[in-house]
Amino acid sequence: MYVCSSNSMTFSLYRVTWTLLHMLISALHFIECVWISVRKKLDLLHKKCTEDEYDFISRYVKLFDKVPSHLVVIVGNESISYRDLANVAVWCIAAGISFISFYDHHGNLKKNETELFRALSEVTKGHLDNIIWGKKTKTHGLIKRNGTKNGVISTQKLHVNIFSLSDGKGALVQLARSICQSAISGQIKSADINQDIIDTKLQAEMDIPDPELALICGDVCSTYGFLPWQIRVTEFLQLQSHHNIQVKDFLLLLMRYGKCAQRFGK
Amino acid sequence: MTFHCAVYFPKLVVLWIISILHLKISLPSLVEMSWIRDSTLSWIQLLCVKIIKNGRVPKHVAFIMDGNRRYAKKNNVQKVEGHSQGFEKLAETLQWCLDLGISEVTVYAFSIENFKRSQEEVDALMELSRQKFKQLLCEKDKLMEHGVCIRIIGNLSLLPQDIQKLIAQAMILTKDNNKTFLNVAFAYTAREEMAQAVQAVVSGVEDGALRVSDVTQKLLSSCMYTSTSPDPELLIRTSGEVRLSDYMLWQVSCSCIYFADVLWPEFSIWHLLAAIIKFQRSYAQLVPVCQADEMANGSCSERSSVFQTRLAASRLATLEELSHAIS
Repeated sequence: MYVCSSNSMTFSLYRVTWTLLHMLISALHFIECVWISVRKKLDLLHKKCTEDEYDFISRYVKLFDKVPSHLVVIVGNESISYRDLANVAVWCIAAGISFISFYDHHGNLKKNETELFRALSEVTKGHLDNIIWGKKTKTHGLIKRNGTKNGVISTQKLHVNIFSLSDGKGALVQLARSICQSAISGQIKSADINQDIIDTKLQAEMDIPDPELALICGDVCSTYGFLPWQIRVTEFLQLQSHHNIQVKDFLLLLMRYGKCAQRFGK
Repeated sequence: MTFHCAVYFPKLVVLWIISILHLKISLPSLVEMSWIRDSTLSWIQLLCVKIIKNGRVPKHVAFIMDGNRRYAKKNNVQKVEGHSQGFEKLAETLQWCLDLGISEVTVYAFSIENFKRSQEEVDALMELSRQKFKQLLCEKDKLMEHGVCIRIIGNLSLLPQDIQKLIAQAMILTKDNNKTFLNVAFAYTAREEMAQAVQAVVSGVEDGALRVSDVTQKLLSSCMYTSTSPDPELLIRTSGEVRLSDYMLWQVSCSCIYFADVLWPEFSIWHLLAAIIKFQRSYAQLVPVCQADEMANGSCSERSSVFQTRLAASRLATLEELSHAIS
């Protein structure tokens, strides 16, 4: 009995230590979050409105070795701040990023697409000429393409797409089903199926290049089920929160991406 | 001239001593390159392991063992030595996982993309694997004693015939073990895996074994190379790179990902414990994602079950054939 109680005492001692360890980490994390939000508020107060954000970003990105052609924002478990997502979209135009996708595995972003549209209108002050709504949006095809602004054709376009959980594995399942149908009608043989065929078909459906950079919002690092086929060589960077994201944070992430060296297996 | 000798001679002596020490350190590793070994943890490390085990420990951890070549460059040794050290680290990590109660581990040993490397390096890697798989078969008793089930996932047809035979033998030998599972991704990419799963399903429909309505997420999962394993709960990538490099893209949808800024041969128990702490803190937020993914699985019809059983049987038959092939 003495041995039993000594064992259970040791057991609860380990348990207490484990709990204390996690409490300590939570406390440190809380302090870090407070510090970041205080710093953000201070930055906002001291913000010099002398330089246009657009020019600032386009000047800065010229210093980077590379800029992604397709950026994804994975919202994760955060509540959606449409204003901040719209800001990121506009900064992408300034940075020369041609494709932006927003991923919310809950599907709320897809449901509330009009909110994002409204936020983008506000941020661009109605000049939505640069924005092309991709195949994965409800607004796709609804807006008449004009492309001119004061008689000048704006060259930098941003394709916007919104994804949810069903666009990942679900899209592959749908593709498999359609290939099965083609096989039944004799248009294709199973022996002919390979990576390239699947890639071509998925590309045709989505009309976007594979994402090169993904920003995961929140503390948890996970793909949350985002497009498994397309994230083969995507760089994943953690963004503490997309709420009140500043230009500085955005540029820091692009700078980190610029430093990544891809070897592609070689 | 004598001055120069006086300066260089001590340097030479020091270099000579260092090279002997280095050899001494690496010689034991040349001899004891076993897959399964005894615990190397100090008492304080074991204490920390005991503490961490009070929280949730992932049942299946996947590793991208990156950084062998950079390690070799950093230490001025040959690339193959870097890979060899990498194998050492793998064996050590397996022991740590056993100590932690992690019953399944999947490691990314060789990607199909790695065939693009110089012929010299590919041949050296193949030779290293040949030695390792041969050794694995020699350690048969240890494997059976510890109940280790070895599975090699990937497109084995891309490998040299003799290695295919060794792999098949190892897999058949250990297929009924169920205490610990070691999956080695060899000649593997996630896209190739997903493509062959789609091909298997289409083939099933062509044969009339399946209907189009049977094609669900769950069916595709069962056609993957990893069909007999649960999805990894934690994915660890070393060397500081922050991408998945075509590794288990289908299976890590709900996994906690940990990018460790350390080269694989320098990976330590502390890094592993840090990854598990991160997992413990992320778990609650990932459960709903797993549940949503589960819900999207779809149902499994009678035809699907029969198809899956047939597929598993045909894969086993291929392995049996390979293991008996005349090399």
